[in-house]
Amino acid sequence: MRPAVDKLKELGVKLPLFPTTSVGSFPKPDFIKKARARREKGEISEKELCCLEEKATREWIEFQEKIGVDVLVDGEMYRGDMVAYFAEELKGFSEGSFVRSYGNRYYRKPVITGKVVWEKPMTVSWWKKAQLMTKKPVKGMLTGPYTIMDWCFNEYYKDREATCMALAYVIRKEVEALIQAGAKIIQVDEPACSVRPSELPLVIQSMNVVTQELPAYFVTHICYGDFEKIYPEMTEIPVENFDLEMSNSENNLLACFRKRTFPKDLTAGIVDVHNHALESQEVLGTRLRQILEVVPAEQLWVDPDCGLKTRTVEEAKQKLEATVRAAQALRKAY
Amino acid sequence: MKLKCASHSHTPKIGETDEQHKLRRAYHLFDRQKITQEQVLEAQQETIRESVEEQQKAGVDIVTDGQIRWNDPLSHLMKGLEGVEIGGLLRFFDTNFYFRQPKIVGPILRKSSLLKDEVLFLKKIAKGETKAVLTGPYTLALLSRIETSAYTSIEDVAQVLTEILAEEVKELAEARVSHIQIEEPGYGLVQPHWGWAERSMETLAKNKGKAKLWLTTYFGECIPFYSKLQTLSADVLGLDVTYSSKLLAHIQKEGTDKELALGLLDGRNTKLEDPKEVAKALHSLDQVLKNGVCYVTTSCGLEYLPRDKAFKKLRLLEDIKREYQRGA
Repeated sequence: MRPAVDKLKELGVKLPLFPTTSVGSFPKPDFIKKARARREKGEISEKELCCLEEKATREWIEFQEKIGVDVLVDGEMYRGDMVAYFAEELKGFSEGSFVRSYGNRYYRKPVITGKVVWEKPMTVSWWKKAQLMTKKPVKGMLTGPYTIMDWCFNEYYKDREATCMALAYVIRKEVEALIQAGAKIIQVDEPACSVRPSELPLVIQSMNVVTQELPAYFVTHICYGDFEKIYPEMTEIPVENFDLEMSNSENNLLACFRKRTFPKDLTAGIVDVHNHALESQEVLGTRLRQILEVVPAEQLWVDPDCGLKTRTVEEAKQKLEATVRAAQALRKAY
Repeated sequence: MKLKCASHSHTPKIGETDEQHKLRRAYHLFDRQKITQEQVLEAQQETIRESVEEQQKAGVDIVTDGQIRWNDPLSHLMKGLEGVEIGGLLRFFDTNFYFRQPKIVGPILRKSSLLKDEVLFLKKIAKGETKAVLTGPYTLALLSRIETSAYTSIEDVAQVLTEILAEEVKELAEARVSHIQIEEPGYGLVQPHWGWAERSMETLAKNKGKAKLWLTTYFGECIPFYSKLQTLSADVLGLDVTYSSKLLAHIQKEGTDKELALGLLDGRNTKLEDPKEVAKALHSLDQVLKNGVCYVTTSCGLEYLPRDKAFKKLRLLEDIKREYQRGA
């Protein structure tokens, strides 16, 4: 792949040192939660719900602009879960029931019951709406084929590889549609990629199908895995930027990077999204300085560990603002 | 051989209906300080009752409490020990379920019983045979992070945990639970020194009283260390059959000195197995198990499935037993 910085330049994307961004999801404000519940009961129309989701999206875009985030996200006000959303939009899935993820968090795990087919763009209209609300770049946000495969039940394909590759061709179509619409930075999340180290070649192969020779700067978000087992091989996943949770593991990942230099751009998660407590600027500054001991400044982006949807709106805002302030302070020091 | 249907370990905590969400709601409200710890306990106990009723309704011979009060297989036990802090989230093996990783920050001490109350409650509400489940010392140590100079290796930590869990085994046996399952999926992740594993299981087995002691592995291929498992002090070996199509043939070839609990149904996929096919596969072990008991179960706990599917898998156990007997 070409150097990441060249790709951004070719795409006409100008970013400051230590660009700030978010992993993807923000908490839904109460009016959205209530509206979604009312929609389920048939008390409001799809159009009415959509208007409210647009309102919430606009509020999050305005907030990100206000605090100085460099690469924005739409906040996923219209999505439930990162896999279930795509399962609802694609042909070949049945709605699943609740399965626990951790603690008291549950999600509906979809079931693949037929051939998966991309019939229409799934995220493009929301990306367009969000991009029209700001002059800053908005990331296209997708879930990767390996993670969708791993996080669904499969009652149709013969094995994991067949499922994953079928999904790769489907996700590529969505990437092409996003690029067609004007997206220049596209994030394809693969949090499941460390699940079975022996299947890392499948993650790479499927991501290759998703990104190969397409004109966009690709990011993949990976979290809560045993990275020691797949590093440095995981950096062969064909994307320019790896968005990794660093604070949850107290920067332990740096031990891997000390053994073998991190060869791509790194978006480092510096605030814990599973904790109510707000980290101090001192703590965030220390985390960033530790990362800079092993990752060159021009390769470093900054964000929270993972999607902020698990926090309250207030907590999420505070955590994101703290993230941006820490990156800006570091920028001044350089 | 005689077949018995056994619940593996955990069962789903919530389902589809509002009523089946009561435990989730209770935790949510407790988190916001709107209800008390006692009210949470009530919701837990009500959910345990439902789990046990469902297992019995499905025709399961050996029931668990569904591990309803457990957040995950590690922190539930480790949070009660001195010298341990509970840290960040980490994926549990190759599932998309996450556990809070214990951090060993000082000498580990058992302050009080970890599971006795839970087992007493199970005994109170369940009819017939009961099973208590303990994550094994090796897996607990392997998945923890050592942050103290008090221990220098995983086996150091596992040794202390063996002694602590031996106390637990003693209390569970005194509570007259019929079966005690030691879960060691970690054996498949990084094999232990088998000499140490022998001593560890011996220590646990000494305290088992009249209970049957199970040693259970899952989430991985166990053929490479099947012969080692046979040397360990356990009455029953629990094996995940879904990871290897060759395991039953391997057992047929190598035989067994122990009773087996075979995880024949995939506890991680909703697709329902054909009970006739499973019963046919079981018959391949007739000569090996002869007049002994064979426990049929799922490959792992059922919390990875939605509640309705978990119940269907439990029902399938009974169907397999019936098909097996029909073909005998």
